[in-house]
Amino acid sequence: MDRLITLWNSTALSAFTWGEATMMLVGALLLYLAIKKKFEPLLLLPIGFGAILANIPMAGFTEPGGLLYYIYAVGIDTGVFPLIIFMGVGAMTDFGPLLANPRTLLLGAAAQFGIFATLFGAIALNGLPGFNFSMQDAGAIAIIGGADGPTAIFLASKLSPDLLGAIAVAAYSYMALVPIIQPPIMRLLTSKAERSIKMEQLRQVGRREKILFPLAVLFLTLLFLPAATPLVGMFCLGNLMREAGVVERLSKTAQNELINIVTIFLGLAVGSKLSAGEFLSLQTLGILALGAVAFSIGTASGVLMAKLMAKFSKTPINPLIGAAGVSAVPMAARVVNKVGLEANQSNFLLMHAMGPNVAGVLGSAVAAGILLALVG
Amino acid sequence: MQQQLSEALTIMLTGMITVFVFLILLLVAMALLRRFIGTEDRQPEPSTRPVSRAQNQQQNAQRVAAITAAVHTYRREHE
Repeated sequence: MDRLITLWNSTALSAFTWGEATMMLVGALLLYLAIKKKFEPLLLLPIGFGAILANIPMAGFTEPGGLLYYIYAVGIDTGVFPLIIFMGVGAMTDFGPLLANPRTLLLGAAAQFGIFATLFGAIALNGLPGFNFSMQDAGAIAIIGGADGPTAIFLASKLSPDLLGAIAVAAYSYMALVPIIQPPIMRLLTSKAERSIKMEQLRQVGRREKILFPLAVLFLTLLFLPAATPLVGMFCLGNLMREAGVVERLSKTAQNELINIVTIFLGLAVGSKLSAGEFLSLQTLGILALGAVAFSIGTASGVLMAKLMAKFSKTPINPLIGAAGVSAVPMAARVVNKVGLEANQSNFLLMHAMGPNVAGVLGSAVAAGILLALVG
Repeated sequence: MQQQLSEALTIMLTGMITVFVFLILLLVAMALLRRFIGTEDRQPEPSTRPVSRAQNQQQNAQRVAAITAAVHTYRREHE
């Protein structure tokens, strides 16, 4: 009889708590969203599976000695994984459309208002019972509005590691929801005539300009915003490898094998942060709500900025491209293209939207640096 | 609470201004960059010379002849 009881105690069934079971369901939901709905599957699949592993009772995945514990300690606690991913993103990014139309940098700047407005919103939420976000928490939550996964994970791991799981899940879920969240806001703020504006064709950008651009970005960052250099520096390294044309092997590795390997571990490590104690709380609901607000405000401010620029510009500007300022490359640019085509069947805005889109990546990395400097 | 809110407001304003100032600086840097080097290296893409169909077929025939010859030699040597 004693043996039987020992055996029973060693099964998961006896040790399950409600919290763990619920978190496993959350993990299963993420798997469902990834596989069936194709929501950012590259990230949500390992995150969902990581959440299931982390909540297996007595397996000890997230305790010292457990696999996920080490992956987290090595890659996320140190900030290394998101930075390596950012290098790969840099190697995938073509700054050509931005260099051809540099004004679109302003759209990438305007869309970052989503981040800072959400910081204010998170602190304002403290007025409700059950919420108690510190300024660091608020900064980490706000970066969801940057619509950039690695930046969000990097900043959350530095400012507020306890909220990292919820923040990463919110960031990637909303990035997948960009085609649903953005169009109504874009239509609300523009008239049909504005949406059908055609823009002039972009000029060709020379190779030397493309090589010098990442170096110029790095130079300005190290002078004025050293806190952003980890993110911006890795991004520029990746981009330089791409544009230099002499290290094609490294560039290929950075944007394929390396980023894929790191993505697997990053996803698992983020999933390991989805434990009942940290995730099943009112705060998580608050984070999800704030994330949606951040995306919406970012989209709106990008569009409004584009309208403002169109007023003063000699060449026509379609205000829709402002919505791409919230990074989420290349999804946001595709959404702009789609909404533009709805208004005017022969209007292809994709390349015009890529400018603000990559400007948004720079903008959110800069915003992350500012938040690190101000509240870190 | 009141104090926290005003702090958040300050961060919001300074943050937004810094993002704009930084990206405007970058805009200036890009303009300078373009002025100094932008137009120099714009060379037309090397256009591939159109190959006429007859030329193409002739090349194909030569290739087939070369392969046939190679196969024959190989068979002769390995019998």
